[in-house]
Amino acid sequence: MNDTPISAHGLTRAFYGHLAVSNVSFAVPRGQVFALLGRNGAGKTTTLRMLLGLLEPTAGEARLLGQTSRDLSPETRARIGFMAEGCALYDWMRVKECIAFQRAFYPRFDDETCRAVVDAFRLNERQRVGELSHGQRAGLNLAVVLATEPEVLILDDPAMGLDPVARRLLLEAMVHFSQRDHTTILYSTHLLADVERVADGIILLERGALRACCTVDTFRQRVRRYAIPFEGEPPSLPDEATIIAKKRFEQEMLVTVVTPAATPEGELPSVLALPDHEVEPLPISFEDAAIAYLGHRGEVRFVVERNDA
Amino acid sequence: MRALIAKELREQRWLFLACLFTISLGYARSLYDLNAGQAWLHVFRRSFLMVTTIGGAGFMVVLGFRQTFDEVRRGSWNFLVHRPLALTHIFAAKVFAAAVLFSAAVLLPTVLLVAWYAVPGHVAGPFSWPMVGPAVVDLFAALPYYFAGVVMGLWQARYTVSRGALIVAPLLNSVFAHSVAPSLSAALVSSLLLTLAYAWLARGVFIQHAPRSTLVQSALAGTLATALAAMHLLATAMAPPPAYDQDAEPAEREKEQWFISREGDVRRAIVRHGTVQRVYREDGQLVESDLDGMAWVHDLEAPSAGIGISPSRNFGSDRPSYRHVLRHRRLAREGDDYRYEWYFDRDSGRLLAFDARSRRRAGSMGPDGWSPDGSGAGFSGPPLTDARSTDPWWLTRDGLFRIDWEGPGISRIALVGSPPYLDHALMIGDDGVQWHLVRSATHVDLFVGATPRVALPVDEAARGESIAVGRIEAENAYFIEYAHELVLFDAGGRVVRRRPLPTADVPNRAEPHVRPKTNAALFVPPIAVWATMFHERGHTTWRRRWQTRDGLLALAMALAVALATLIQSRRHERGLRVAMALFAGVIGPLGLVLPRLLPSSRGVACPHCSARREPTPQPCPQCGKLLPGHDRDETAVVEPEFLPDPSLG
Repeated sequence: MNDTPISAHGLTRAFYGHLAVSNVSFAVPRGQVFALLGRNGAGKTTTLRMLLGLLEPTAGEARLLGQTSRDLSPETRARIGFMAEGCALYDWMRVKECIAFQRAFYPRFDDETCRAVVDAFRLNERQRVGELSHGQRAGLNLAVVLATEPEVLILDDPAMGLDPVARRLLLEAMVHFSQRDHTTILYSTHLLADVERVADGIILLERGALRACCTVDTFRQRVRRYAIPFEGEPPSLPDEATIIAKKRFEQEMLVTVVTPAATPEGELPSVLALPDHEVEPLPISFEDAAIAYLGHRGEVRFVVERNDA
Repeated sequence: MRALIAKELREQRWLFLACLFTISLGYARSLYDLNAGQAWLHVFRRSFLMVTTIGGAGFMVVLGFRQTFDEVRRGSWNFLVHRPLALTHIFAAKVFAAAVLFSAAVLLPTVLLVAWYAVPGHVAGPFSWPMVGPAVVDLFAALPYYFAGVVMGLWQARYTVSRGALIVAPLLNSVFAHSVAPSLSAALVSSLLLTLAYAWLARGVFIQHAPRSTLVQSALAGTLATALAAMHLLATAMAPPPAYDQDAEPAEREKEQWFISREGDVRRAIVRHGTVQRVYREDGQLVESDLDGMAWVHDLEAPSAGIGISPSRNFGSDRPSYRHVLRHRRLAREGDDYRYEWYFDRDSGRLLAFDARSRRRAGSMGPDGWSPDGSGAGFSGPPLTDARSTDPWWLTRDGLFRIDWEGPGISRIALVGSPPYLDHALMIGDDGVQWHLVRSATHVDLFVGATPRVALPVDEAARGESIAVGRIEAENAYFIEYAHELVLFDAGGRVVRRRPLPTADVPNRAEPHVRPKTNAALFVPPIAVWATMFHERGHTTWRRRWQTRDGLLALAMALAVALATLIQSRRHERGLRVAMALFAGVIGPLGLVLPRLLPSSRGVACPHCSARREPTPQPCPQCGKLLPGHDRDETAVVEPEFLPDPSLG
């Protein structure tokens, strides 16, 4: 029994000589749900395609259920569920034909699970896939994937373009069945608010490189926000990379910091040791922490600097 | 697998129906022509088979392209290849579905048509299985198009040209199979070999995320090389290499020409702008009275009066091809009100007649006459005259015959000379008497009516030369001009005079006007320009001058192309870059596509300085910085328990 059904070892991929993914390594433990985060073009889809053996890495290796991705046997592939970006199904098929098509390849196809998800999304079996709404397509795709009872489920932005209700429905279905079957899930998303509710851990990519790979709790502990009230001139902060965001609100400065791993929860990070100012810890949501983290080397920093004292 | 095949069949059903409709329409049109009496448009003629040639190939290339490109375009490719099947099986399912569709859309109509044709009474003509050969070749030649389409659909091309290049080899094969291949087996083997090569290439591209085998790479390289060669041939054909037009004469120069006068004398004329200026006797005396060029009976340079013999289109002179050497050769007839359709049967050597109304065989004819039951001896060989016509004159090794096609009947005019006869010409005299000129291996025989008149021994050295026969009105005599000899004879066939002629190659003392035909050096491979220069070196001053100019142009073009290729190929490894630049310099502008066609190295651009470097943990040799992912700083939040076991990587 492998404890990390999903693992990447220095995955690198270049397109036309330009790096899309660079030296990405991670491992997802069995039964856990991991979210793959990153801005547009960060390399999420490329990473997932390399994981599934659909794209050959320029360097490095990916392993699924103990097999290298480029040599996945049909038996192993049958244990892996995959939902591609945009829920690419055959538009000309009717819903029931799409289900029958999927069933033909999977002897363990669970009609009950499929029926449950199809009903949840109120799909008409006689309707053509091309006529379904975006949410219904996602529901159908999830139904045919979950019905195969996969041990590993990889989803590429499954909630993309869905309304909040459909999104919630999709996530609930995903979590319900994964918990029931102890499925290992890796899914990419831009919806940070959902991550906290669904995921055990995150893998965060920035410009093709791995920036974070940890539990959601660890991330929240490491990325902290502090308020520094001041009168007159704002405090002078050291030019440290760990200070990832600074924002001034009248006579208060909000600072987001990546703390060293060993920093206890109540302790101030050394970069904020300001003798003349009081530094107050503030609660920060995962979404805010992730946005500050993702944006700290991009446009957000530019906006912050305009307001900077 | 069955689900995949069913899916493929359903997805391509509209394309299938369109192809079936088009091909059936093409065949139906031909059947209509057959029924309308144009039986010469029989099913296995080259023009008719264009329906199969173009229809089958077009269907296959579109089918292959759609089967892959549509999956990629609509995003279902990942869904497809994630089926729990080996990729080879998914590929095989697509190929199997394509085979089924091809069989139903192209093969089945052809088989039905052949079956219909083979039933007596449907077509007024003979049927034999070898006649189906060209159709079989066309069907096989369509197969590589399918795999070319598959590869084109999956080709990760930034430019359409490299996709299009993949179809060049099947096109070349079609041209070879259709027009060049000397035998049926050569055409079939060529198509099968190309199909195998393309199938292997398509399979390799289909499962491209598996390591590419040497064989796949070789197939790819071979395909691209063939495509490049073909494009070069095309370019060279469109812009021929520098050639030097030696025949072009300065307009102001006068030219000597030899004629036979109305009196049967030989005259030397000075011609300028196509008009006779002066005429001399052979002894050099100026002739004042014969200045009108039209008065000449015969121009020794270009026989125009009388009749000329040139190799006729017969069985013997056709280029060997399985499409030409049909067992039955139809004899075309003018008009549509005739009783019989005639065919020459190579096997029996007899002429076969089919009733134009009942479309059934009516009988046959040989040298001994008409036979309703088909019995009797055959001709000892194919006709030596134009075997496609129903000219009443029929020349074979058995003699010269006159055939009444409607009678039907046959009568031998003469058993002439020593066989084999090579060619035959006919002239109708002013009095309506037919003159036959027959050339055999040893003699040139002239018959007036059925009477032999003149027999000239064939000059071995002049065997291929033309023969001219003409009438000299003033003396009521005739002449034969052949092998630099003029033979005058009277209406009774008696030789009046014979004399040698000056050579027909009248010396032209004018300096050749040498000029280049085109600025081909700018368009054709430099190597072709240099080869032409080498081949034609040491000629006139004019030629050398132009050669120098073309050579320099070609050199400049070669350097420019090599430099451009070197710049374009900066993502390739150094050795390959130099090789590509040199090769492109030699082959010319088309070499510019090489860097687009050949896979580049694994090198990547450094995100910091854009220099090429390997994607390794080492610092960039140019700027010394690490690649992203190798330069993790203190802001990275990575828990070791979520990193992979290094021993597994």
